[in-house]
Amino acid sequence: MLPIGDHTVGMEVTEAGHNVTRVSLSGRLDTSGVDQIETRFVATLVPQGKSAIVDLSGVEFVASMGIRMLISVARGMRQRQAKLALYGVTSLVQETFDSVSLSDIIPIGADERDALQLVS
Amino acid sequence: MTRHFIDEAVDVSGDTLLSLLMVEGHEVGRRFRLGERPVTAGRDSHLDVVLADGEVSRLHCLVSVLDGAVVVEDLGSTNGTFVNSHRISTRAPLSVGSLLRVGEHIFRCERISTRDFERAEEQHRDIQRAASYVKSLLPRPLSDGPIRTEWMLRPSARLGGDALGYQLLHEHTFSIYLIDVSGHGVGAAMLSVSVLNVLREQALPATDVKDPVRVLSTLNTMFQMDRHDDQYFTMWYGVYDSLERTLTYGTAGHHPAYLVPPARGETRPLKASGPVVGAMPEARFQAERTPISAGSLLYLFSDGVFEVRTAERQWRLDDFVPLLAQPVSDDRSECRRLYQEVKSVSRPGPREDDFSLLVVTFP
Repeated sequence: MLPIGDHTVGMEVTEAGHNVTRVSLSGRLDTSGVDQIETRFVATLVPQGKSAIVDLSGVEFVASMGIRMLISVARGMRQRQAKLALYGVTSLVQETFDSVSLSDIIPIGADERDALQLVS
Repeated sequence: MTRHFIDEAVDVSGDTLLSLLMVEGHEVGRRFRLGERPVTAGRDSHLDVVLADGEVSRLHCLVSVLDGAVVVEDLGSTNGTFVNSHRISTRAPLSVGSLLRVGEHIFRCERISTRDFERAEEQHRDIQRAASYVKSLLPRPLSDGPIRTEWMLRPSARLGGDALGYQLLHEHTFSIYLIDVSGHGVGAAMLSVSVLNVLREQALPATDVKDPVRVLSTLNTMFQMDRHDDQYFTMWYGVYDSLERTLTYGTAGHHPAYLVPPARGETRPLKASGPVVGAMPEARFQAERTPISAGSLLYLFSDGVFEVRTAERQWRLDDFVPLLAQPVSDDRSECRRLYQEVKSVSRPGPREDDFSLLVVTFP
């Protein structure tokens, strides 16, 4: 029996240069995972009014709560004239993003360089 | 076991008690107190834990507290009693934190304070009233007329964020829809109920409800995330014209519905372009139209139906869709067939999201 709530998510914040924040996420962005990082994720990105790119190469699964967190942060940043772009999306996660047409709401780059261009 | 013995066992830790918390089943979140007397579970209505579940025997099992420890005893059930995925032969200990499975119902054994238990009981009654209201908004299955319907809605928490519906709009046109609010639980349920009521009462301002693009656009204007606690929802909305035999549909960030012909064996995805409702005011939606042949079945479902974890990996939509094309069962409804198929591959434990499925047959 696998334990309930056996999810762990990781979040690392670094500078990507050109006044852009880089956030690397890992693990499962489901209800439990989002509960663990949402406060920190929002607090890191929204108040500073600085553009950011989010590396999702370590994220294996995104549920609706994870999408809600990303959209919510993108909207908060937009109100502060800051931009958000995602990159490093795995095929399973891309499938989820495609089904909710997430790229209509948040730009998704093929790689870090592409994502930096999207927020520049 | 004597009454004296059981009462002694409960008193061991003062004002705490042992309980079973339903984590999957028809009344997720409900607690059952253990210890005052053996707790009986099964389909019979006179038992302590009544389970309306076809896999459960009339008198299925018994849970007792013996010397401070919980013991579960199978009473010769047909489909067995499971502790942490292992079928027990007759009697087995159920330690705190363990999972007990009876049919499709799963319980976790917990020790909590008497005060918390009483508070949980009160909360349960309130939630039950809310769940009863949500249920009252859902349509009855249709067994006659231009469309036939069956559906299953199993929240993963006590209240879910999914809702579905269908209704006659005008003489020979029907709306058919499914809503999936991000997340689950009370907050998500309140939003899904708001949307459901607007659709049921056709209360969308200046909107032709026979036009999926107008419906989705108006909902998107009404339910922007910043005015609804940062929640969004996905939706599939279709309008069936039984005279023309056409289905016009739009989607808002929702995966496709699937059309399966009478001969089975293949599935046709029905999806139009459009983002989730609430994320951006300027969202644009599109509609598509398809002819409907007699005997076709339409399957609408939430992502909780296929986003399950097997023992090895995360399931995806492509894993689930082939199940839709399989032959219908003689002895089970389509909802039950698909629920059981998904359950059979899912790893043990409670579901992580709501399971909502609507099957529409076009005679």
